[in-house]
Amino acid sequence: MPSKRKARADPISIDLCNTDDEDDGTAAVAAAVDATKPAAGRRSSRIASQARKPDEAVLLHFPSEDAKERITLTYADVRRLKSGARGAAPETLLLSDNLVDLYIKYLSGPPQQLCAKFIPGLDEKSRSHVHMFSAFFLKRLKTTITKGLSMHTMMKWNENKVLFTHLRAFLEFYWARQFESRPIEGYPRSGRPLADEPLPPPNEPPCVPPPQPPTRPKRVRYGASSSDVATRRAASLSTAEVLGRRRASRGVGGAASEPIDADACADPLVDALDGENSSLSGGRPLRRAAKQSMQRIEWLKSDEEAWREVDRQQEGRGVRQRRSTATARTEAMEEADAKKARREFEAREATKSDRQVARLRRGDSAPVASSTTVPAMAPREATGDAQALAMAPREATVGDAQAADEAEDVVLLMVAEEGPTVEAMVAAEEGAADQDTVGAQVGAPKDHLEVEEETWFSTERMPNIILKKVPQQKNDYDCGLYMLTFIEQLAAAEELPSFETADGLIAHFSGATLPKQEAIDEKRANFYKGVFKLAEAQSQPDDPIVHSDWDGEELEEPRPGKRQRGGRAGALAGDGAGGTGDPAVPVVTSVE
Amino acid sequence: MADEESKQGEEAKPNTMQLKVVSQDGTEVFFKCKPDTKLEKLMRAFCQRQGVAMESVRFLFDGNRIRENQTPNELEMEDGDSIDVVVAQVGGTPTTR
Repeated sequence: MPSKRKARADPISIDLCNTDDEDDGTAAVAAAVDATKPAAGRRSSRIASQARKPDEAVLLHFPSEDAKERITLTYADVRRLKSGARGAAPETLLLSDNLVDLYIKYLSGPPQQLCAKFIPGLDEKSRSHVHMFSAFFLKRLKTTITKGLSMHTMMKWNENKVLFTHLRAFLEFYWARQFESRPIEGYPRSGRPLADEPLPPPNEPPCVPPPQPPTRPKRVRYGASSSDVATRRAASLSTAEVLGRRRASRGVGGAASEPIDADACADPLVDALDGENSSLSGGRPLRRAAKQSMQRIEWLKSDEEAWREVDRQQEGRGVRQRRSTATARTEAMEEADAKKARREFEAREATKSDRQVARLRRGDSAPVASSTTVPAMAPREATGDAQALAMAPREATVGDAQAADEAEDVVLLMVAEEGPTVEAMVAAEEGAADQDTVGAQVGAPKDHLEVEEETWFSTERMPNIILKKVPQQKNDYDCGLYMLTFIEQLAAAEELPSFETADGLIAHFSGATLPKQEAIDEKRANFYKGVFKLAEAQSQPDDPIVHSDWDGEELEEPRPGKRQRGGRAGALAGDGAGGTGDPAVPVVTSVE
Repeated sequence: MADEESKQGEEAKPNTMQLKVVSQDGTEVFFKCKPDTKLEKLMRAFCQRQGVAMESVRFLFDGNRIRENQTPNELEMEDGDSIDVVVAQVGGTPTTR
């Protein structure tokens, strides 16, 4: 018990209000930060403040520098697009999240003229029923699930419109997990000793928070050292994106055909909250409030004004509590307060999301109408061995496919790891193997994630989510490109089988229709060229683009006159200088 | 939006808001800042505290990347909102295992 409390008792709070708002307020920020650090644990702040390396020089902002949700590509990123055939270390050729996100963003919008030659993009029809999430979506989803974090935050991710249409699937996932997986979810998997508290009895309502591990979760030192990063990166998840197919004809009526059963959601929650009372002290008023709030949510639904009312009431409590704690939070905040504050925070988040639903309902009724309410939150005390889970080496892509017919939404998880190579598929097809065999080979995923990560995913627990292996590459570095290609094909396909099952969907692509290695190599080169085309459109005369690390054939097509000199010369010089030397360590002559 | 402003007015200390930065391992760091403070400050503070390079992490609000020069106001953040921090990642696992 004491150890559990200790683990959560000291949330870190940093006050930035007293530092200067000017850009040179860095020292003040540092001071504010240092004040919160335990003396023994202070680290040098040099890491964060060191000067930009040429690697980190910005090549391109996409879609534009002022865009609200821009992707910033650095030279380090674009260097990953070098040809893989020249002996570069595979890990230097893996696509970075920036590249993947940029590509996805590019696909999501109309192709840009300059770049369309290299990256054709998707036509309007394909775009209109496709939504692709950022590379971090899956990871965050996983964290949400494994850590028992608020699902509501997740709901707001990216285009919440899309997420909300899949609210049901996610909630089912979430609730199913809460109800079924608790016993499995315990910490012994990681070999970590349990806290003093006993595990909840198996029959207890499943939202009872599991005991805390005795120690505070280890903080990840992102990128503390380069080798550390390399290991972590190699092991971490990568591209995660969601394709959401929305049937064009699916209007309010169609969407309304699968509303969230609010009662079904609410009841378990109430039970769970009641159950929680038995194992935790304090927080009762909050639970009551949550219950009330849920009831009111039911009553009030889309009435915005009334929503605000609920919000204010809920918030009034939350704010008072958090305010009182926030001031004294630095070191000696009382344990109970910390717990309470967290819970209230949670409740507020829930309410906020609810309000967002209301907003969305008002603004865009078609997709959102399929969801009615978001139930209040389950407790968030859960921490597990998610560290280990999150480190599991795997590449996955979430494809989130809305049913093409009346069937329920299907979320498609596409896993690149251990899928058959395209070459193998072709060989199998040519070897008179019937399509079914190949299909089965492609889509036999269960033994994969369920063994490795049963605590966060299983088909049984989440029937609407289907996990499939997808065809992949022969080499060690083209995963990302294959995945992007596959998604592109999926999005652009004229006709697809029913989205009811992913079996048909993935088996729809026979090896013969999938890109061969040569095509992927070309795609890599074109991606590189396309990126530079985009960059050229943005480059400034005093900050020309540097092509010196390109080791492929020279760029086609003379560039528009404006940028031509510097960039072109750089490209040619680079072909000579960087191309043949040591491909893994390209020569960079970035002009600052 | 007028509603949000009036809410902020209710805060004990007017014109400040609290934001929560949540990293992938569940660590939470709370930041108090003004609604018109550039988020770069918060990012730097977080990175300094965690000892990570700014380039190695991404800050996401509602799944979208945050730019350094944006402010909470601009992003329509509200008091108590949480910002996700994720480690920059690369895609791919070797085929041979």
